[in-house]
Amino acid sequence: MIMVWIILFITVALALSIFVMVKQKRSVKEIGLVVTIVSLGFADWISIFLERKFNPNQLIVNLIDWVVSF
Amino acid sequence: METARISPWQFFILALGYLLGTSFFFRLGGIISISRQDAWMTPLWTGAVGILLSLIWIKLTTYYPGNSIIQICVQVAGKGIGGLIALLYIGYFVHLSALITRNLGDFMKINLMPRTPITVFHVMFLLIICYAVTKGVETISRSTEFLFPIVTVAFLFIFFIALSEWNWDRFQGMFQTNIWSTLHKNRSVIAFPFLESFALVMLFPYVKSKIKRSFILANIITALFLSVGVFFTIGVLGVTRATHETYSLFVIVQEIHLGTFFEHMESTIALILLIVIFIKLSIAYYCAVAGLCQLFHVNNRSWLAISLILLVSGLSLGFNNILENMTFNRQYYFEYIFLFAVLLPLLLLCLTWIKQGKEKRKAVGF
Repeated sequence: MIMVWIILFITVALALSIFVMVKQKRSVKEIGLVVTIVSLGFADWISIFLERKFNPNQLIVNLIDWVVSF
Repeated sequence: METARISPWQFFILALGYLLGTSFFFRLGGIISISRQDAWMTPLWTGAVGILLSLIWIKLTTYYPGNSIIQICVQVAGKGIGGLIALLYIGYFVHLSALITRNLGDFMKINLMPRTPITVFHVMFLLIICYAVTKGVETISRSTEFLFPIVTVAFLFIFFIALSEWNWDRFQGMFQTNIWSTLHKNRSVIAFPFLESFALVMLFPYVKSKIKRSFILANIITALFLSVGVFFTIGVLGVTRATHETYSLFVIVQEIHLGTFFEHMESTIALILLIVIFIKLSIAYYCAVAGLCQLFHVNNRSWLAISLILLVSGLSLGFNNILENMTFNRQYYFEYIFLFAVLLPLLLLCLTWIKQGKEKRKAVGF
């Protein structure tokens, strides 16, 4: 249930933000950047809720182990 | 780019708060667990190594005065590869922000509010940080200038009150550790706090003068104070207790009782931790936001700072528990930060020298 509310909150907040940014005549680049960051954050949160957590630390550990193994 | 200016003193306080603040809370037990009674020597030599390595990026910035590391990347390696390296740095700053946020969350959840979800601490604190970052580096440095004396007085107060528990016997067995054998294990102390100060390079363009002196002095004082902190913890808690506690300074404060007047000082020290985390996180978060603004030529930081809250709060949940956090810090953090604080600046420095050599040869007429 929490996940549904979070998805709803992020969608509404993003839509409102884009609306305000367009009203403020922000550049397309800035709007694109904000949408990209929010999408990355959104994907991360969804991965947490689906219990398939994206763990950047594990990624770094695997990479270092792989480099050290050479 | 922001047109803010900060004085050398403000930069020094900022650097000292960034370096010393959180390490006093999170590092002491870890250092003592490795080097035992000789642990007070560790911050001294790791600090010396950290300062030596920081000379690389200090040298690099002297070739590009008034430019941040993001701008230097693009200038040296071009828009393609330079942009990619700059993006790596931004990723590092975002990840660093997530790590600092997680440290705060772990501390609050373990010691103060165990029934509150950790995300609550993360999001609430990130909202404050976001506000500070949108206000700019001048605001952050002024608030640090205002808050740092409070932190110093609190630390001095704890230091003098807790001295009543001091016992020289706890140092027995000193000078028996083989420094060379603990060298490898102590590499994480070079990374946190000393190599982490690399993020301060993003603030170099805003400092009016005496950048190098303020930066190196802050590093030296951090090494000395950290050494004193470790010495103090061994003398008051002893090696065994200090290594078994996650937050040894917090335990020292918990045991302070002056009659019935001064009791439960731990809530006060938690506030002090919030202040030092504010200093550190606001710098790391500012670096991420300013990096994005500089790379993509965006003038306003507000929207980027707000959108990063979602990403940082999500990434800060990467560790399942504090043990994972400590293991990562101890075993992998040095290698991870070495890439950003040593290898990449060294690469940029070499490219600068090659470019300069080419220009010289052109000027001579070869």
